Amino acid sequence: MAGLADALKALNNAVEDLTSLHVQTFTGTMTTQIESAKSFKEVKTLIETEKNNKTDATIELVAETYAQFDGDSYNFVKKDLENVPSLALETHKNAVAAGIETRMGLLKLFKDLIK
Amino acid sequence: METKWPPYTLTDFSGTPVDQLGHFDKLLDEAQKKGVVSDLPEKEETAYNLQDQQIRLQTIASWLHLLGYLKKKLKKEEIKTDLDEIKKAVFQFQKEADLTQDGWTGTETWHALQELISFELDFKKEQWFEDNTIKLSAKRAVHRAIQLRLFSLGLYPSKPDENFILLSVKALKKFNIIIQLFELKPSGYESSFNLETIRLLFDQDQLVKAIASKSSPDRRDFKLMVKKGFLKSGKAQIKLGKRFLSCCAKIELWLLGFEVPIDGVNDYEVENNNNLLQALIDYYTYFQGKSIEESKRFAKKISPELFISMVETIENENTYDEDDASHLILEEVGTEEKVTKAWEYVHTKGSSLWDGLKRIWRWIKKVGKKVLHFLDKNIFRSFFRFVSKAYKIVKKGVKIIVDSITTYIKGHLNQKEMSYVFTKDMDTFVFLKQSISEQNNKKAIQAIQFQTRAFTISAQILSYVIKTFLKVVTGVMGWAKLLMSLVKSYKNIKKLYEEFKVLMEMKPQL
Repeated sequence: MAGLADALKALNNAVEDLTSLHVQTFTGTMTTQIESAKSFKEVKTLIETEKNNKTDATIELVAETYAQFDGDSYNFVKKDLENVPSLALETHKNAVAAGIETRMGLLKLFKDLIK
Repeated sequence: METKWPPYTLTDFSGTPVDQLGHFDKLLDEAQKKGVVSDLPEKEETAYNLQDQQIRLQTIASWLHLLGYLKKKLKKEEIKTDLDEIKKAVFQFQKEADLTQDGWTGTETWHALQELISFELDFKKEQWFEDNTIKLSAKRAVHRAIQLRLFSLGLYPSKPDENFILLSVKALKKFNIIIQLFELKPSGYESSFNLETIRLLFDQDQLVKAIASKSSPDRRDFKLMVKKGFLKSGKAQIKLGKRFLSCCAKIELWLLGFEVPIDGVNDYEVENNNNLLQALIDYYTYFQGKSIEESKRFAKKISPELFISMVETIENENTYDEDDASHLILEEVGTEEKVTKAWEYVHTKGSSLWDGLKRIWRWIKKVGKKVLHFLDKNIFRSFFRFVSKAYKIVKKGVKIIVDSITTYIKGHLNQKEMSYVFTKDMDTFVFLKQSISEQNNKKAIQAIQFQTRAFTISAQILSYVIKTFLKVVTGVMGWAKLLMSLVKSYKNIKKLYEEFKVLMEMKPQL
């Protein structure tokens, strides 16, 4: 991507809704497939496929956060964390914080330009 | 001076915020391409592009000449025809200073040159010294700088040149006498090319303080510590002391912007040097507030009064406050007309040695703005120094924003045993391998924290400068508006940049 204008235009074209944030943290054995997935949609398909037991890999939802910036939100945390990596919840928390901070940064940048 | 601004074509800042950010980024690029600002090049292709690097190349060429890597001092118009010579000299310097040898001056080479030349910067011990000894791999470059410094202080017959050979300890003989005469170190101290001696030689403030401390009570004469049988006769020691005094005086006056040569010549009896005489008269009149008659009397020879007044400015300075300096400079170059004058001056004359900023700040602090018309040239240079610094920060910020957005658009941030996948709306899917090690997990957390923080800080930097440009600096047009916005923003964006630098130090090794 050459310059700021191109990057922002690409982002502008991609972004549909910055007013809500959805973060899902999974754990499992599908590393290779996930790493090579090209989009969120593809990841979803992989998960669905696994759920239908069509692969040997496993994947499990550990935590989920959905927050709308007008106030509504929900958090989900897996009940049994026995086989979950010890830092999984911290990882999730950080991903949520990162999503919020990045959106706020972008919105502030745009807000300062509104005359 | 018949230099005019290059065409300013970007006048339309309308459109969506995305459009406006794009306009601003384009304006920053144009400023560099048209030579309005000079950022350190990031690649070889741009390092020798005369249109945007002319001023910087001139400065680099003069530094290389002073260190003896370039045979002749290049005039502005000779830069274009002697680019190959400059390249060779840069390469040679890099080789001798143990730097990446690529023949062009980026951040590393620029700062290394600056440290070896500047009268105001401290050099980094770890770059040039190992324990207390000069690094073998950088010895030639450091020895050249030592010879240049000794020459400037009147303690060596010539500056380094194309026939440079490594110095022997004998080269420090005259400096040893100065150490004795001005009691810079305890009696019996033996200097060599160790860290302590070289630091002292390069510490201009320390030398000035030592000189001032040798004043007689009536401030008319110096009381030097002549030691019989110490290397030279007493008479010869006094003569050397006078040469050193006049050279230090010339350095200090030159740093204040006076047209006096740093030539190692003994001008203690000032009448022999008209430029120095006039500079001293002006100094006493306008910096010290003395009457013309009194100033003329003081200017006849190098007097302790000169150094005592300079020490007062050093002692007045608790710590040099760069932010404060940027605001003082902006107050002085605060109109479109003055910014234009400053640009014309720097564009025509070059940026000299990029030195003297601390002294300007000290004097404005001490005597206020009444001395400013004497500092005009250095004020202009300082203004552009802050422009360059601010520009560098903003461009770095833009680059980080672009990189972060690229990661989001790409939709992936893959780490060992862990992946972040982003949707178009920056919703995030995190996948951890069930058996992920704690170490890899921590690194992956750091990676997302780093990316986010870097993005946020960069967005704040850009946002601040654009806001200043659009809403704060009013009544000024064209390039002058951009330059003033950069200097006006400097204080705030530098704080953010410091935060960013700390962040970079903690950047996870991925």
